[in-house]
Amino acid sequence: MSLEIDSVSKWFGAFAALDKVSLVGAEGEFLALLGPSGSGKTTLLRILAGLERPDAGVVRFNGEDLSGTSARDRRAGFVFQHYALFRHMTVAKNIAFGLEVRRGAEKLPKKEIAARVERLLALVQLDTLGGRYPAQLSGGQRQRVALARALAIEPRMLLLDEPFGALDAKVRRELRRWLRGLHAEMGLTTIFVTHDQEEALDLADRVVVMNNGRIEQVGAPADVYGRPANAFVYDFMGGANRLPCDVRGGVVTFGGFAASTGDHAPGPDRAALAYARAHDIRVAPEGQPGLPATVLAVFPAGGQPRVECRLGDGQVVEAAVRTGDPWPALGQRIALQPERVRVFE
Amino acid sequence: MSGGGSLRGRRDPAPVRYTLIALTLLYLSLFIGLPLAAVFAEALREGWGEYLKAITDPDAIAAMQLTLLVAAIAVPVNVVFGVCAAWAIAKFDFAGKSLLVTLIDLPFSVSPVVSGLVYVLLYGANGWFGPVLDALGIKIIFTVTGLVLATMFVTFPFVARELIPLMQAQGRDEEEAALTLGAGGWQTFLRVTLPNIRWALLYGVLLCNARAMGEFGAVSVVSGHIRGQTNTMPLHVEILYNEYSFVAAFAVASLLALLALVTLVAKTLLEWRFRDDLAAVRRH
Repeated sequence: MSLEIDSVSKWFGAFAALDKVSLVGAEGEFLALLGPSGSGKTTLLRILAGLERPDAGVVRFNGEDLSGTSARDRRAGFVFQHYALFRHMTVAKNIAFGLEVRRGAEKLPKKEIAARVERLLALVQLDTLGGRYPAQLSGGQRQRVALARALAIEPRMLLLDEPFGALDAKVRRELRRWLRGLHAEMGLTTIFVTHDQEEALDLADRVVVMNNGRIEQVGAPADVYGRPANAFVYDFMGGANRLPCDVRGGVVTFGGFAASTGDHAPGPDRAALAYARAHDIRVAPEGQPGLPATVLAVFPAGGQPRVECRLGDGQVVEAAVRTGDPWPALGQRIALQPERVRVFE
Repeated sequence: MSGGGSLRGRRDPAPVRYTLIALTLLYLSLFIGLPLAAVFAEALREGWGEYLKAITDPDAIAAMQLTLLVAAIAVPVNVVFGVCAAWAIAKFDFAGKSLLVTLIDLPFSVSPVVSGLVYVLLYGANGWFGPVLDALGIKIIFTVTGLVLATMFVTFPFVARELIPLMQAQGRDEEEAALTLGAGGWQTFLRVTLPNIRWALLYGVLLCNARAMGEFGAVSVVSGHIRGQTNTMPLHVEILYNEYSFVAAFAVASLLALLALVTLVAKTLLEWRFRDDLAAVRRH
């Protein structure tokens, strides 16, 4: 047990940014704090770094209570969303900063600092750019400098606030892959904040889904995506369709078509709303059991061929077309068969 | 700076361009160039001998020394308080912040004469604190102390006003980054904050210095015009002028004008010498 967050709360005035949040992170674990803006994820990260003080609760690292340890002494490598590089220093000076401000017995000789900076520059693949200023670098390069600077102090944990938020999609994917490799290599307990569910699912060992200052679900990416604990998590993971259904004797049906709910009990008998992702909804010809719908648009290109259709109540739903199934035409009447769904109480 | 290219590419018709340039030049020469030239012309009307005699007069030298002394105290004090105030306003949230910003601007909106009178009212022999100060043997009005206090009051906004918008724009991220990297408060200030504000600070110091040396109104009220003791250069100019010693008055005035020119050149030189640095900071 390396990192322990124990009923941490934080208020900004009357607004509860964090409401008794508890979480345990294992040594070397890669955790994602995922949630919409205002969910408290950045506040939690800043509390871990010591940049904010919790109003209640305790953070422990390897059993040691960090409450009395200032941000300065926590040795938490923090990477800011907008990098926060020292603009008047070269890349090398930025990276050396954490070593140069050391005092007393911890002070390193200049040669040792220079050698470490060289190693870190190589690690983040910026060997030749040590003499540049931050303004002369691209976004992705700045991000890597920020990371090298945080790693220079040999942190006990690495905290990243929306690390890829300000980068374009291609650079983001490259950096993501690179960061995953780096984590595998160094084994440093790493926590990053993101509002991008794809990023969280791609990178993290475990995903912590947050909403309104609380944790909605903690689990491996496959769990959070495949077995969301509640409607919020399902919705936030993306691609959610809300479909009217009947629950009777633990079976969920859509116009006579029975769907699987996996290991999730749909609850008491009632008319309810079921959650289904596009690729779990099959497009069947009109007349078959299922929800009657009209095709509004077809998207044959891309990784997931899909159609957009309108239900009888006017709701728009996305459904997938399986390989081998015939493509429906625009305006055609079809039946939607949600094969795997979740019904939350 | 970006955007310059598109502007340079667009050409206004020649008559418009030349009319605008001519108007600007005419205005500048009429209201700034001509008076400035007049100061030097008047000062040198009776030749260099008279000029030198005027500016080496013991009273004139005493006035120069006093002006330098006042600036040498008021400017550093204002730098310290200006940085403190700007830091507090830009980097922290607290109750009464907007009131503080308004208060910092007060010396700009109040006539300097009024500021001087307030000092007399507070610290003069018959003022609020007069009896207390008298009992302690401290004299403020009609002394150098009073001159320094009045100058500090009038020049207070210069440094703070330059720094506040810059520090607000820069935010707290870099300071927080320094903190997580293990830097203490003083290290953070010296290594991160100060280098980020140095040009604005220098600019503020130049303006503050120019005003400190040129201030007339507030200083005039608290000075008492004791020759060789509490007469700064602007006050000395006034006395000489009132005594119809025009050459001497303009000679001392020309030194003040020179100071203004030196300030301007120093500012321009700094901007030119460190233009890459400045540009890099602005691009960031």
